[in-house]
Amino acid sequence: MVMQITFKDVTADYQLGPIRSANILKNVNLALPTHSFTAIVGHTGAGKSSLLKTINGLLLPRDGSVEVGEIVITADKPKKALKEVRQHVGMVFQFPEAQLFAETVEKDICFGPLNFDVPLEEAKKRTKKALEFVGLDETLLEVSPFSLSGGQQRRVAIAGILAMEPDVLILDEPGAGLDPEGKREILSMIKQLHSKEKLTTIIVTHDMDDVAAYADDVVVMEQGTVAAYQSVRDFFSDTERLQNWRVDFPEARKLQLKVEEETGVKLPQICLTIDELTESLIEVGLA
Amino acid sequence: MARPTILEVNDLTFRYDLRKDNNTLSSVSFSVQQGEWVAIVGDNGSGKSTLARLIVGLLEAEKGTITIDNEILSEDTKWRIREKIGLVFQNPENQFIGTTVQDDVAFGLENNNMPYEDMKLKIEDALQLVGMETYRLKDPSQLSGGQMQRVAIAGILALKPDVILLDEAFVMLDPQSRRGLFSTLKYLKENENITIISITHDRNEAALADRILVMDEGKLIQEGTPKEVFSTNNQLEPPFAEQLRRKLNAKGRKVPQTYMTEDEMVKWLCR
Repeated sequence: MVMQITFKDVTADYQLGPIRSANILKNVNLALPTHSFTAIVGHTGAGKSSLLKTINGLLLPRDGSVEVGEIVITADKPKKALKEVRQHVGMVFQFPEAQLFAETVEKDICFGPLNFDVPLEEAKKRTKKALEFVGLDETLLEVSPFSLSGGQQRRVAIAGILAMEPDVLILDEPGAGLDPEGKREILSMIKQLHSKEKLTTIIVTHDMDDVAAYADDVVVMEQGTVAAYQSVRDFFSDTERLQNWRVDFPEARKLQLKVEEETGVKLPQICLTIDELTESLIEVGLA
Repeated sequence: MARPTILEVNDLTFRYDLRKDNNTLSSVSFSVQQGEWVAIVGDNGSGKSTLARLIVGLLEAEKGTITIDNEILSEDTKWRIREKIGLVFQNPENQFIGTTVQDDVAFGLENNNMPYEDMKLKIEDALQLVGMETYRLKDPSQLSGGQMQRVAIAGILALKPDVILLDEAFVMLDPQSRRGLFSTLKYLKENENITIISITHDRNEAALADRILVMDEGKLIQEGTPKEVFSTNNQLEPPFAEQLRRKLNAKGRKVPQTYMTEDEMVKWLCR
């Protein structure tokens, strides 16, 4: 389904009773095209997770609106729009395995679809499919999710979101806390899902190597505003601006900059991966 | 000069389910010197976090002993020992109790009956070290994941324990904050002789350590300097510079045949 996401002048805060905290999002204007894969980066507390929460109405804009496809979310939107948007937007929180609760993997994954009035048979069918997507064996259906390893638990939590068959998939630091292998597996799985199911995908990450390897576009959040929105390659080419935003480079680019500074030799391209760096170093005769 | 041993783990064995035979930890033994920085690496499920919990006495071992500062950990000694060792968990939400950031940092100090005025200074210092001083009156639950992690670290730094045990405590931080905290830790280690044990998946973090312990399926399978570990253990993904060395080597380039740090790699490229 076509699901572009548009932020129009979005301002938001976490209001607690009569006390208003400072705006956590300030005048955010942003349009993420349908089927795009966007990475959101920025300093801790810059508003990354808050931006995600406005997409499925967990945080409502105080001013402005968030549009997901045809659905419009504003401050005074009735419950109907929220229910609708949550059927289309699947949200995977930080450490999602902390939300597992049911006594079997199957019951846990079925919980979401059943809540949206999907019949039990259909929910079970979707559960099997979702489990396959996240690379877990069907034999785990009857197992307690708490007997699984951390990496497997995270997959089950993601499967629970996929079973709702969202058009938009949002993941807040999906690789945090996993070993390098497990992290790579989760992220390539997300990338595959993205292409296969034609999802609009948004991830928050601090790992610039993941941004370089998986995303098409980057949004930089800074103190509640969008400081930049660019394609990945353009973004990492702009050395000076990146340093101002306190954003890191991918490992390959970092080493490239060091070498260029020491030798005065400019490599023929902006290297975002180890393969690009290897080739370039050989090409200019440094290695 | 040999430094005194601050932590000694001897033949440690543990399983969560006594009805089953598979040990979460089997006969793990190692020791850590005072002022040393040790990284513990290994895949998810290799027993790293279990080891951390055993060391601070949150779990009880089936077999083996843990000695901290010449005192064997037991039901009787654990309260005294916990003044010497602080653990920061991976997910900080699991450890917040205060209603404001400063109350939360104060919790450990209050438990040690510290006078109010001293406590104020310690909290100020600790929050400054992690760059959270402007958030002191905020409700911790309103903070972002990375900010919570920093407050949790401040709570331990304020206590100035002899040993700081970090269980993946930096995963939610942006790379720059992470580097900032590394230099804080390095400072504490060098100037206050604090011992650091960090459980991590981050190869760059592990490369900073004096020594790396590698865990696999509940066993300690290797220990050595980063250079020794990364050059001999093929299962472990090395830091980027070493990955590059191997790539270049595979392409038939005449790179040195031993492990290289980033500085060594840059130097070699610029020869």
